[in-house]
Amino acid sequence: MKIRTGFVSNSSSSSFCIFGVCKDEEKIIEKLKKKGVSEEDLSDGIMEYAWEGEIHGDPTPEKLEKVKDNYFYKAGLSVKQVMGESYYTYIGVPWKEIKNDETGKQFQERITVSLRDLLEDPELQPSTCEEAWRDG
Amino acid sequence: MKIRRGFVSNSSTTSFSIYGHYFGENEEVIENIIKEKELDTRIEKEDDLIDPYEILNQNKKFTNAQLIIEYSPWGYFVGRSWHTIKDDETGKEFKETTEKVMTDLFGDEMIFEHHEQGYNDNF
Repeated sequence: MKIRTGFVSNSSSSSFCIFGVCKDEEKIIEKLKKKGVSEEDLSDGIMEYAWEGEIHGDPTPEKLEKVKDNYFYKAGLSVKQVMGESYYTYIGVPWKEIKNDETGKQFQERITVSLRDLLEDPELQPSTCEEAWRDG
Repeated sequence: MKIRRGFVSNSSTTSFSIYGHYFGENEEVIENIIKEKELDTRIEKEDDLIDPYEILNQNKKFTNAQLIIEYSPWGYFVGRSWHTIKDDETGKEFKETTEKVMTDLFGDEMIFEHHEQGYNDNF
């Protein structure tokens, strides 16, 4: 007999599925600074860990908020930041945004070119990144 | 100063991102379709209970089309994961083939759209 584990119905969770890369936020900031981003351009917002209504751990700077429009969205890329055991920054495009006249290969190539250009890394190899996390 | 709520690191979560149909919270809807359309192709049945997840995952037409069934706190979702788009398949072809095979299997009373869910599956 098959037994399937259930789930907590009143939990609040978020998820995404993109074709892109996961990078350390500080390394992304280094690249952006080479492109002209200054400390003043970076956000002073903070990220707090929340679990069952209580704040845990130390707040973490969330610096990329103010530069998202000019550097990521302009290049056709989305940014997702997830707090897990450490702070993960995903850059790419959700698979659901593939165009009607675009093949899977063309979609991957388009994002690979944008990411390599933005992060100045010709060897960068994006892949499908799927994450889910509890945020409530 | 902007403060955004963060995430829980020690929770167990499941997620899916598909193009397909939401069958609703009522399990009987999909169970009745499985009966009506004779989708239970299992040779050996351990009992008479209908488990849509088990039945569809043993249906060759369902699995060959790369369809998946997800049982979430909001009910059943069926569709194809976006990241299974083939190198030579366009976004339009992906949607059309998914719609065709699902209509063949489940009938034409479906609404095809993007569904993305994450949920905690940890007791």
